[in-house]
This record gives sequence, C-alpha cells and structure tokens, in this order.
Amino acid sequence: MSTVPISTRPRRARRPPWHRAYTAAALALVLFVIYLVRNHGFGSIEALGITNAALPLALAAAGETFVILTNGIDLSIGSVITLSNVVCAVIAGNGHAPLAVAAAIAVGAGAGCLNGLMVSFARIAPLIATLATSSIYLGCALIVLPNPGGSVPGWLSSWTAGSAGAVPVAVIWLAVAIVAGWVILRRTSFGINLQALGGSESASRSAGINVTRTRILAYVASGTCSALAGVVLAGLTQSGDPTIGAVYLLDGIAAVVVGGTSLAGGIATISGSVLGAIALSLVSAVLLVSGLSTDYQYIVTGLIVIGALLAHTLQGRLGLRASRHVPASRGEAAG
Amino acid sequence: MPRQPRSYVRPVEVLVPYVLVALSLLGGYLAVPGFLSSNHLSSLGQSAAYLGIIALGETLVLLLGGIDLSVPYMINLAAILVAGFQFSGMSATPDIILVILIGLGVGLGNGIGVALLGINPLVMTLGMNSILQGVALLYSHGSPLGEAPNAVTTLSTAWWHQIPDADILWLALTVIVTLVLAFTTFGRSLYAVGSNRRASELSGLPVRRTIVLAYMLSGLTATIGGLLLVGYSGQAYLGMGDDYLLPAIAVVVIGGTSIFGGKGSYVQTVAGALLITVIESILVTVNVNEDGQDILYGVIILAMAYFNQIAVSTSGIGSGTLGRTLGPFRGWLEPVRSRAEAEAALPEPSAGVGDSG
Repeated sequence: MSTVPISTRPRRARRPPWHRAYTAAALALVLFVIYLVRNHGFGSIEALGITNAALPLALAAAGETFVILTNGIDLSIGSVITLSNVVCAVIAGNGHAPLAVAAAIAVGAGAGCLNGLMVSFARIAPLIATLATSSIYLGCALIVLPNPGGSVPGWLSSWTAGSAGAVPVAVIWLAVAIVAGWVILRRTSFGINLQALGGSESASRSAGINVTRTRILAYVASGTCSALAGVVLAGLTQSGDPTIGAVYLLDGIAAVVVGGTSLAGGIATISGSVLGAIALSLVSAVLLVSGLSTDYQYIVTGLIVIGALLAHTLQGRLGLRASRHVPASRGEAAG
Repeated sequence: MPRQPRSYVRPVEVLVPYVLVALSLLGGYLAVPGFLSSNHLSSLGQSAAYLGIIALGETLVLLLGGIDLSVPYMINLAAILVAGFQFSGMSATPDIILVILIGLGVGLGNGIGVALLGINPLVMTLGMNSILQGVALLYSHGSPLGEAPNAVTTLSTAWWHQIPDADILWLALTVIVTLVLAFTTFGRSLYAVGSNRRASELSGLPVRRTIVLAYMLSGLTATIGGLLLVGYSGQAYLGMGDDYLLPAIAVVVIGGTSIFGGKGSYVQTVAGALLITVIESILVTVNVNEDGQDILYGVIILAMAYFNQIAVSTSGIGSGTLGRTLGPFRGWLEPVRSRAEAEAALPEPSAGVGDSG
C-alpha cells in the first residue's frame, strides 16, 4: 500500500520573464563583439577595466530592480551609494576595515528601511519620498566626509577590484549577483510575494500577503545593494568621495530598463538588470577603442534606453512571447 | 450654457503654501537683520523667478501625470548654445529665436515619444537628458565659449526700480498660464488627461495633442530658464542645470500639485518656488553648511508631501483630519482587530510611481 506523496513545494506561478532579459544579453553580446573586433583581442587588463566599471552599476541596478518590481521607484540609490562609500572609507581609514564594511551595509539597509517606511506608512509617493530622502542622505554623507578622503586597506581593494589569476574578482561578484538575484526572486517567499505585489496589490492583500512588510523589504534590499556598490567603489578608488554616487542614479534606472524590467511592476529579472549594466558599461569601452569621443557615450546610452523601452513596449503590444497579457496600465502609455 | 466643471484647485491648498512663505519671511526677519530690506527682497525675487520659470513646464507635465527629467540638460544646452551662437557671430535676435526653437523641438521629441510611441515618460525624458548631455559636450568640446547676448543679460539681471525684470517676466507667465489652465481647451484637457486618460480619450479630447503640447511647453520654459541662468552668470558652463533636476520637481510638489496628475495649479508652484528660495536664503545667511541645507531640504519635501497626501486622502482640511491622519497607525491603536483586517480597511496607499508604465 502506498500513499500519494503530497508536494509541499508551492507551484510556480508562471515562467520567469527571461525573454525580457534577452534584449540586454543580445545588446551586451553585440557590443562585446564590436569591442573584440575593434580592439583586436581581449586580455585580462581589458576584462578588469570593463567589469570593474560594470560591478557597482550592476549592484545599484539590481537593488533598483526590487523596488521597480513593486511598482515603485528609488531615486535615493545615488545618495545611498555616496553615504555608504564615505562611511566605509572613513571608518576603514581609522583602521577598522571589517567594521567599516558592516557599518556601510547597515547604513544602506537603514536608509532603505526609512524609504520603505515613508512609502508604506506616511504614504508618500515613492518618487517624492525617495527624492526627499536622497537629499537627506547626501547631506549626511557631506557631514561624514565633506571632501574626498579616507582610505581603504589593500585587502578590501583586492577583494572588490583585484584579479584572481586572470579572472577579475568583479566577474565572480557579477555571477554571484545574478545567482543570488535568481534565488531571492524565484526561490524565496519574499521574492514570490514581491512579484505578486507588483502584479496586483489588492490581489496580494486578499491572498494574505503582508504587503507592507514586503514593500519595506524591497526598499531595504535596494538600500543594501546600493551600500554594496558604495563599498565596491571604496575598494576601487581606495578612498571615499562625497560626489561618487550621483551618476549611478540615472544610469542605474537605465540599466534596469535595458534589462527588461517593466516599470509598471510585477515583471523583473535581476539577471536582466545586471546584463543591462554590463551593456551600458561596454558602450564607453567600445567608443574608446573605436577612437570616438566618449562624449558620444551619453547620446548612445540615451538612444539605447529609449530604444530598449520602445522594443519592450512593442513586444508587449504585439503579444510576442508574452506569457500573459500585460495591461497597458495608467503608466505604460499615459502622459 | 455649459456645466461648470468641477474644481481642480482648492483655495485652502493654494493658501497654505503662501502662508508658509509669509511665515518663512517672518522667520527670516527675526533671524537675519535686514532680511526684509528692499534690495534683499528683490534679489530673492530674482532667484525665485529662475526656479519658478523652470518649474512651470514641470508643473504642466506633472498635472498631466507625466514627468520631465530632461530639464537639467535642456537648461544647460540652451545656455551653451546661446553663448556659442553669439561667439560664432550670430546676432542676438536670431540667436535667441533659434535656441528657443531648439528647446521646443526637444520638447516635441519628448512629447512624440510619450504620446505617440507610448514610451514611459520617466525613461523617455531620462534618455533625452542623456542625449542632450552628449550633444552639449560634443558642441562645447568640454569648455563652452562665448557670452550671453546683452538682451538676455538685461532680462535676467536688470531691475526696473526695485522690481527685477525676471520677476516681471515671471508674473506675466504666471498670469498667462493660470488663464490658459482655467479657460482654454488645452488647459481643461490637461487636467482631464491627468485625472483619467482613458476617459478623456473616450470623451473625444485631443489627448495626444495635449500631451505633446505640454512637453513642448516644458522644453520651452526649461530653455527660457537656461537663458536666464546664462544671462545671470554671463557665461555658460557644463553642469549648470544639474542643480535644477530635483528642485524643479520638488517645488511643484511643495506647492501641492499631485504627481499623479489632474490636481494642482501653477499658482501653487509659484509659492513653492518662493518658499524654497526664502528658506535657502535664510540658511545661507545663518551659515548653515551645504550638508544642513540638503537635509533640511529633504525634510521640507517630506513634510509638505505628507501634508498634501493628507489633504488628498481626506475631502479637505477640517475636523476629521486628525483622525484620518492617524489612519496608517490605527492598526496599532486598535488591538481588537487583527493587523490584516486593519490593513484591509485602509484605503489603497498611493504607492505607484506617478505614472510610470
């Protein structure tokens, strides 16, 4: 006599939206091929340069992905990167490097938590709440370190920006980010709740998901990822700089968009965002080896971002590969 | 006789930011000797005019439920181009007209992307900002040349008796925009589209035209802002618009215009611009550093956004406000109900990005 085993594993809701990450992967591949042709080869030095530029952006973009998945937005990622960067450099400069890394990450998580509380409890629109806290975190960073300075021990640099043999450490971290992102989004209840919340808040509420906690955790995840980016940048530059995070705000959102995450929420892949960040980092490398002014970088990036979103919008409209109908919510087409 | 449309602007919400302006002026008077001297007031008005004019386009776009993040490099490009054209020997009138046309053209590009191609406005204008940054860098080779034409410098810095010319321009624009919003088809459509785009389309309103026009006006006012700023500093430099990305949005929000669209007015933005300018001036004169200014700036935005959020979620500011203010925390105060029930009983939080798709 045998009993039918009852699976306790929850059924997967739907196939992950990998197809939306293909655009970023294809773009990164094309740019990489152009780079190979132009540069007549690819050595460990080139790999180090490109991946070191991509890693902080990829981390910032991965964090932003969690928030955009909830149909929110985090405009404070640049300031959180700056704040954790200066906290790390100042504390490490006083000779407490492990404490510095822990403090930087704690500060990032705390900053993200404050964002989440503002959005969930004060019910301020994420755009405005994170815009305001961005200003506050930047002010705090300026109090901690008004001018570039601080220092970081050699081991932290080699752990973030060094090479393990011919392989840059950053490559390992990028791979870790992709795997960790996949595990968190697809294999934890937090990730499943997050996708549900992005899909429909009222349905998630009805299904018994703690919407408030999930949303706050998304902002905490974003703050933590930005803090990691700040620590990586401290390792990369071996110092702290209160202006270092500014560029990562818009570039981070751009990488998420190129990665195929829907700004309407509910559809996201971390791997897409990481690949998007790699693609955007390759743009300047390709321009450099092509002998073009890096000023073109901004134009090309802008066109790529708009083009990527246009491609995703058209993809959605034509129903290509769409595993479910994505309603053109108030946003996708509105003013 | 046409039915009177419902009011999108509540008097009390217009009044509150102005009361705050008055209070901050009073605070300045008490904290800083000579704060209310006519010279200082005039220079305050001049700075507020730059910010207010830049925020005009952003107000229109936010009323629509959109957003324009291309303002910083719209400002910077206008400043670089007007000085650069002057350097290459163009006379003032065609120079200024050409720059304004370029600004309108960029706005047209944004509008087409958003209204016709259906690209999310956040991303469209973000990408446009990046493109404009590239164009500005390529045109100037990293070091902008030339000077602002005299007409621009006069408009930006001259005073008519004690009244800065920039404020006269600002006042004129405020009157025009207020009349346009209240009485023209474009103005009414703007509120309608911001309130409910689908319903506006079904009602036969020219939705796409309204959106394109709003983004063009945003390009126009950012360009005028760029001209005023280059007139003020005499020369253009790279990054001169960067300081206006967040303030342009913050000022609109502080004034009480909803970023979800359909509610607010430019008169409120004017108060927001005045409030921020006065507070910044007080902070500078009492020697608060940049760090303190940044923190306070963020706190003000949060406070005003929270206030406006309460004003939106209730039917007005009245006796019921306090009880509803406690709304989010009532779940903690009432032990009888479970947390989930308390949450389910609450209204939907306004947690979406303005209008991101």
